[in-house]
Amino acid sequence: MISVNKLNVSYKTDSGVARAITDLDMDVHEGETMGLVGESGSGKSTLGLAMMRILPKNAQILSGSIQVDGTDLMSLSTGKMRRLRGETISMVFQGAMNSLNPLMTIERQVSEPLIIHNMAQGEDALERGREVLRKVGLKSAVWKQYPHQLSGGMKQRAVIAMAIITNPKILIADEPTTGLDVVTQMAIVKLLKDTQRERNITMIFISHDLPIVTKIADRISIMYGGRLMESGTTSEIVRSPRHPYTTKLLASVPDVRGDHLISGIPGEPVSALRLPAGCLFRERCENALKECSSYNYEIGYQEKDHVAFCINTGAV
Amino acid sequence: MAAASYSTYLARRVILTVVSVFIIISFNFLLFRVLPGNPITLLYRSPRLTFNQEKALSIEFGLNRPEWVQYILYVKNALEGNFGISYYYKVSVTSKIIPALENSLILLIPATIISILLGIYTGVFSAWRENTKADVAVLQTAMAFYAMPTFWLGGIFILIAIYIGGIPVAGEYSVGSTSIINLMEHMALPLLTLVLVYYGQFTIMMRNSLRDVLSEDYILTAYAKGADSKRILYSHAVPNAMLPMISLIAINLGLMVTGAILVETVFSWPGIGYLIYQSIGHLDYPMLQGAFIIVTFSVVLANLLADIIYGLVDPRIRYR
Amino acid sequence: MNSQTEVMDYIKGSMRRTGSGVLGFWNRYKRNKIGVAGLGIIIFFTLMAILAPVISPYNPNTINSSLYLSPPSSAHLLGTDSLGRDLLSRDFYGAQISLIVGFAAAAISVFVGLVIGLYSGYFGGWADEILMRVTDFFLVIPTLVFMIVIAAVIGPSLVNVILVIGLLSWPSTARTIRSMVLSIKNWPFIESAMINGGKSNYIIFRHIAPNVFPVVFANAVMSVASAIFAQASLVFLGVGDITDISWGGTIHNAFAFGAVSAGMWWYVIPPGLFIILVILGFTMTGYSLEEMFNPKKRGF
Repeated sequence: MISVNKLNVSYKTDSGVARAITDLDMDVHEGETMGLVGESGSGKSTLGLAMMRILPKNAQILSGSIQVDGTDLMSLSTGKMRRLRGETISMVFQGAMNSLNPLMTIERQVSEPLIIHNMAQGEDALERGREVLRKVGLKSAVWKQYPHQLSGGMKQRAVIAMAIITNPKILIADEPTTGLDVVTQMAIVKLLKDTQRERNITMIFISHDLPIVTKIADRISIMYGGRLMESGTTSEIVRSPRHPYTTKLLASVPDVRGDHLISGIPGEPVSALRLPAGCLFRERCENALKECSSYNYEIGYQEKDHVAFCINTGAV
Repeated sequence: MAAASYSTYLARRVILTVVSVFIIISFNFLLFRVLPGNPITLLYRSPRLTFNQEKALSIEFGLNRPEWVQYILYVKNALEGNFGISYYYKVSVTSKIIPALENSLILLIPATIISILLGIYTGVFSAWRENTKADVAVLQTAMAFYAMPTFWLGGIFILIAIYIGGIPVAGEYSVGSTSIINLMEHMALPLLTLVLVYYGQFTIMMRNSLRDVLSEDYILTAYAKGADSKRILYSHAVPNAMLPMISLIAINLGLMVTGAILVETVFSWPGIGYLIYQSIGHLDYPMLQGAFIIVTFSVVLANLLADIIYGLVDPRIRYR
Repeated sequence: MNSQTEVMDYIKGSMRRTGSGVLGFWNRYKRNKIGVAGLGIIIFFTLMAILAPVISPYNPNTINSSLYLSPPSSAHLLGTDSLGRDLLSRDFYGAQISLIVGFAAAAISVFVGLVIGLYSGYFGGWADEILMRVTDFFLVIPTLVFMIVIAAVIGPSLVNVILVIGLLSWPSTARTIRSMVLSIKNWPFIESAMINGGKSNYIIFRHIAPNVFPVVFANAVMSVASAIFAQASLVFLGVGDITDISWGGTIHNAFAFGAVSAGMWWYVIPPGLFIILVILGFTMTGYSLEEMFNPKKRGF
């Protein structure tokens, strides 16, 4: 369904070129949920934006491809890509933040994709918008309200409604539970899971919060410093992690505000501006060996779909 | 409940406006009393006034009574639009100010509207093409006009108009004429000057406001929906960028008035600005004071209006 | 990212990039073409002001009644004014008043704005409410009219004009500083200083003020431009000491003696161009400094 091959993305900044994604390979099968996990700066959000081709202007896709059903998204014209966006591939952003236009009523924003893609107009579009809003659990009192009148959880539901109204094949959810309280987080995860099953959507669930991801994902990919560290089914990742970084993530708990990990991982994440040679995680790794500094990302462990990029997987 | 919050917002604005009006009046009362020498003489007595005029003034403003009575009478008179008698014209200040204010508005209202529209248009153009050559060109043009002293640009236009010939460069009408065409001919240069000097700030404001909005999350959401540039710009970005513009325009109304004073002086346009200029030369303090109060009131009231509009347009204030 | 972390990142960032020295700062500044051009213009006019007695062909106050309103000639490159004084010399000398008023008034307004912004932001509550309402009031009223009335009443001497401009131009500085203080106040080390009962004035001036300094600096440079603008406008309207030589005054004379309607461009255009250039110089420099210091204006 989705196939990412040797993808390289960088950002031009005042302080130099930042490598956001390096040599990333990833496959997502139809109807499954792929969890994409990493700390901030791991390149997970960049991957989401790259799939939609809505990266910031200073971003550059250096090489590689992202294929959906065999079509390379990078080769599509801007017009074709725009028609795909919101119709075939939808994205759910962090709704508790600023993802909704403060000057538009909820129902108008939610039904807008239908109008954009000529699927419905006027009152018909609004009616279908209300239908989806009801489905995600938002009552009629909310429909004509403005974003600031809604709670974080309600906003997140509205954002989800907006993304699924066109019946997309692919849904990319970027930190959809961040900034919400724990109870609401669970409700949103359940909503996404139900929606995904019901409509057979292929979903990519991006989060820094591995425990949450394990509740929804069929498979999980762990990223660090723009590279893939480990990838496997959820049970493989949880029961037998092979990468030291994964084990550290599993032991971490998100903080109260939910946007940082209080982790047992010492040290700072690597800077995308100055990626060190060798294994990116080695400076924070307890199991680091001398050879790690010359490690070149050969597969260190593989069993079927479960791969880990570490030469000392035995130590875990 | 929602309506109650909006009225709270409005009530707060109205109270602040009333306070501002009182501050302005009180400041004037004080200003003319910190003068060296005998302030009352300076303010209310002039060799040019007749004995009867002086006597009437003295009663109206309670000049022989205690200071606090004078203050109350001063506030009362000011609120009723009575600012005393002009030294120079020997008639009531108000009778001179009202027609001048009308003339100013004839010039200032179209100039404000045109420069705001032009500024918004060029600002959107620029922000959408951020950091391209077109953006830089628009921005530099706007900044160049903005840096030009109003009176100097007016002077340049007069030089050009005289070189070409046939374009009126002074006054509101030719002698004996009252036709609209004649008015518009006279208005052309002052209007052009004002628009050119003032659109630039709106360009820069709109460009910055829109640029901030374009980096908001909800714009990314709109992209993700598959919206094209036109929809992103006109359904999402511009309406949001207009909100701060309303406040900024209101704040800059004072500056617009400043420009009007200079332009009216350059083109001898018989508005309140020209009146102020002449009063400086005549040392006509009552006139200066009256004009100052009227101009400041107008700006403060226009700000109140802008606040009311802002509240109506922004749902975050309307439904709190 | 909220504004708080943004400011924090910016401070850290600018420290990292500039180093602590003047040299590091200059290395970063000189990459900004607009800023360098602006600084060049400022230096040009500063030299003009200092060297005016040397480069002027005539004494700017020498009256030559037989030569009034004469057009440009080899003896008087820009002609003479209504009293037969050499216009080129007067245009050179005009730089002095502009810069004096500009710097002095800007210093006053930035100082007042800084103090009000610091206190208002730091203490919050009622003090903040009142100070900000006063600030809004000054921000909104037509300042030039205010200046005219006050200067006309107290007498338009050079010092009075500087005072009036300086004391009426602080509101935007105050607002900017206040919003910066509001976010700096929440920084951990400031918070802990406050909790540990540090003296308010000590915290404000020892910890907070140094952090707002870059922005104050950019603001001050911009303020010079608006002060020069205000002075030129006041003199043009006849509010000012007529014995001072200034660009606005020259343009005022040109209008008053009919030189404009007589098409004498050499009387009006040069002083106006000087005003534009000097204002652009300060604006460009201030804008570039702001761009360097303000994270929101930088790229991704």
